[in-house]
Amino acid sequence: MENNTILSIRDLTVHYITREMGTCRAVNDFSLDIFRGETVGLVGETGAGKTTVALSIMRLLQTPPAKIVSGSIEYNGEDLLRKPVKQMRSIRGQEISMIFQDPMTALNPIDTVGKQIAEVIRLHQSVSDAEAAVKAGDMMELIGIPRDRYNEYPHQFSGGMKQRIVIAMALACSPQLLLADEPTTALDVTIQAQVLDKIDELKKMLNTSVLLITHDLGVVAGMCDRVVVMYAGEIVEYGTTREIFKHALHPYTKGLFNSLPSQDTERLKPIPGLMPDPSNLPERCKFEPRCEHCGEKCSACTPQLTEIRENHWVRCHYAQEG
Amino acid sequence: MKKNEHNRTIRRRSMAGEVIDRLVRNKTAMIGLLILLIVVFSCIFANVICPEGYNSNDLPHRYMSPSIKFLFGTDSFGRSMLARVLYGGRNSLLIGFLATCLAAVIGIALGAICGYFGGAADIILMRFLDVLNAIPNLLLAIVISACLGTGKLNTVLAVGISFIPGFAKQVRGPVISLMGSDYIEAARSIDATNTRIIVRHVLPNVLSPLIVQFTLTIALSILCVSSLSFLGLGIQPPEPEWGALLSAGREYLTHYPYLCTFPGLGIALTVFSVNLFGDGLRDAIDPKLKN
Amino acid sequence: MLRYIGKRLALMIPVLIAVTLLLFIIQAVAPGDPAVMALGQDASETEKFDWKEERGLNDPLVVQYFNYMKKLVCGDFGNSYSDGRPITQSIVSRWPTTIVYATVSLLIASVFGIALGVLSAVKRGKFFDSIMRVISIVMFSMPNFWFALLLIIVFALDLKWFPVSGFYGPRYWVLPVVALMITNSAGILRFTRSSMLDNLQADYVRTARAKGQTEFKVIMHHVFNNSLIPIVTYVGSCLASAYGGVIVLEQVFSIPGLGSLLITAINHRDWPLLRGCVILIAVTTAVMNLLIDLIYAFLDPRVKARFKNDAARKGKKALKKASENA
Repeated sequence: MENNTILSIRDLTVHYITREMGTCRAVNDFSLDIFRGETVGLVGETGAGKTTVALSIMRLLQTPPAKIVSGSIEYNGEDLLRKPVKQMRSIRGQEISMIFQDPMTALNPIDTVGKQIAEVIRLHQSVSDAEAAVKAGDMMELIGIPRDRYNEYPHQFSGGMKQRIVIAMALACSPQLLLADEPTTALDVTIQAQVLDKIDELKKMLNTSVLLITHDLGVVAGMCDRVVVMYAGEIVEYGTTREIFKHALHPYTKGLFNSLPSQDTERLKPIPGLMPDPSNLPERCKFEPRCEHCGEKCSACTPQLTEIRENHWVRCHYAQEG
Repeated sequence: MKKNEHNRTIRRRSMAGEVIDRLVRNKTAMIGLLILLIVVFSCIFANVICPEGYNSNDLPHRYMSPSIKFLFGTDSFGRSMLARVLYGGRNSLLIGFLATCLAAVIGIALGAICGYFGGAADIILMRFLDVLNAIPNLLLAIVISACLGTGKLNTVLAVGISFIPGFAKQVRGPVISLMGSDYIEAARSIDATNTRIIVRHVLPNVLSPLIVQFTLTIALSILCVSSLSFLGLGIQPPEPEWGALLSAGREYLTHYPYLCTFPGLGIALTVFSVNLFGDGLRDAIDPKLKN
Repeated sequence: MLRYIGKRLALMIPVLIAVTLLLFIIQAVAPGDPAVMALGQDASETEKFDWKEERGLNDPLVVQYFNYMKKLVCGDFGNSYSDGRPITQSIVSRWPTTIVYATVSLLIASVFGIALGVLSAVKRGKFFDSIMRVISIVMFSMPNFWFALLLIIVFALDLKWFPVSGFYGPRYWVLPVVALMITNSAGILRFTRSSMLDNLQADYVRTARAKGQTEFKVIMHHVFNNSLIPIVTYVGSCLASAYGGVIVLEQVFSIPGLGSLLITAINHRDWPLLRGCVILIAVTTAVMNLLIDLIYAFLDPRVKARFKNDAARKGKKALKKASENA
């Protein structure tokens, strides 16, 4: 593992097993390296398995019904999946942090916001309560909320401010990696920009890597160094942002870009069909039923990820350069 | 492909059908229902199980402990306790049920009307309900029963009235929040009369929690009826009723404790089975709440 | 905050007036002549009339009501029909017994119910949880007077650990308190378990875990403190059940409290005594409910804020007015 790699996910496979639905293969053979200081965008529809990947890294999956069937997630040379829970706890919040989608319910309603930020500081740093409170106040200033609002409660803040508080909690201990699961989906467009800018600013200051999960390609364009496109639990395409945006090769990715409205759009072009049922995944190209360009090989076997262009990998039998 | 994947087709079922399906699959609820049915049918067929009736004195056989001949023993007049308990069950169950129906009908009507019309009627009713709530439930039933006197009808009234506020409040809340909803506006815009709107649009939506409330109130109502009779109100001898039987048996607690065991067991078993079933009903209607 | 308390206490007054009115009306429709109960069946019409005249029972109901309320405001509950003695003394002297009995039972029930409910929620699905669920639903369904009789049979008659009845010392208190608390603690257990399980699914719990918080603190600080808020409301609603149950259990255990006095009053058609007992119980219930609401407000900062805001707003308004007038 290079010095530059923070996190190395190899062949992660996660299933959800319930009585009603059987076995849902949520994530299949997912592999990804995240480098120091970069922002990786993880893109895909709802149900593609993005959140499951993030929760697996944090070992926050509800097991049951979830089950990490195979794979490894290496951080600092150690496999997170094999670590005892106690050690995971010292990693959570301190080395790897996660923020979630809905800020309205992410904060404990009966604790002051200052206390909640101080909580993560006191958990991982041996400082006195008073010092923790001061540091929490510093974090608040950093995200643009005045320190004298330390003793206020979450309900006294707007959605955007709540999400910034969540970010403050996540970055208070200067983690190496921040997992951001659709942090702005629940916010107004104008607030979205503010929050994303904040994440970007703090990330640069602390040299934190970010795994930004989103379904919004605009967000990806603005913030990410690399993009990973996920479909039905697999990576179907990944590469630098520039590569993906300028030379999208997988039919799904192309479909995503085509469905974005622009000034010349007369009619919206959605991708026809639905994602396959994760409890009933076929042993062939998972996108095949919705693909315009499929051929014989597609219904026969699952394509492998191949590097079609430099720093640009695609899982498709018929992807070509150019 | 796995075998069960064939069978997992998407079936279209009505809401009621889904609820019943979940309910039937809930084993505890079904056990509750079974016990309840056993108790209810034993009481209904009391005249078959105990053809001698609840008042046939048999003085040579007074104070017999439970045995093969006298399953629940006999009381101070030699009457079969089994007969008295089963016939008593008829009274306890019937009165509890009727009282709940009374409370439900009036309570739901009041709650729906006030929630729907709002304004002065609503305010007056809420104040009135507050007054009723200031007095503990059982106390209210006791006071009303004291004034009306003993007897089946009076007890139904006393217990029923004390449970009205519960239903009224349950209905009023959802009705008020429904009033703001769009599809009531839509109904109004096509000139539906108020009654029609209440009956066809508002009530079906508040129905689910009401059904649960009704079931659980039956349990409380039976307890209330028994408590009243135990205190000397409600139903009194020679009419048998579980609470009254307990009160009568209490005098002989030291020597003949079995006189108290079985009537109380009747109450406990009935309330227990109703609660089991009611819990299952609640889980079936709203599985998100299922714990 | 004091304003709020004052407001609530003030609101209690119309409610109590309505309660007394209700009682008067109920008395009017009740069958049974109190004169007959007091003087006997053979009393002559004149005797009965005179008896009623002395007590103002021949006046129209409205007049009776006003006279009663006039005396009530001064703390005089009138005189008993059975022995003519003033009621105030007897009901006030019995009041502490009943209230302490009911409230202490409810407190103990809460402690048990909450503790076991939390454990049950944490060990959800395991053996302990299943046992607790069965026991709680059985206990919840028990008629408390039957349970009391069973307790007496087993512990007082068979094992002779406790006395059968009376209320003279700590040994006398055990069985009555256990009998009263059993239904409520089962109800509180079930509600606590349910509230905890709801909150265990909450998003902020996930946030706390993502911070690396220990499971113990996640449950006891984050989940429990949030679950406590609705539990307090539920305990408040158990209050009515406790104060009702007291009436029955005082009969079973021959406890000299308001409940047994109430039953005596009913049996003798002693309306003033009945009114006195009911009013006292109603007032206590209302005050207790206010207390519960205050505890609730104290625990939930969102509610506390609403009080502070109201006060602050009124304060600002007053300030503004003062500065305008200056």
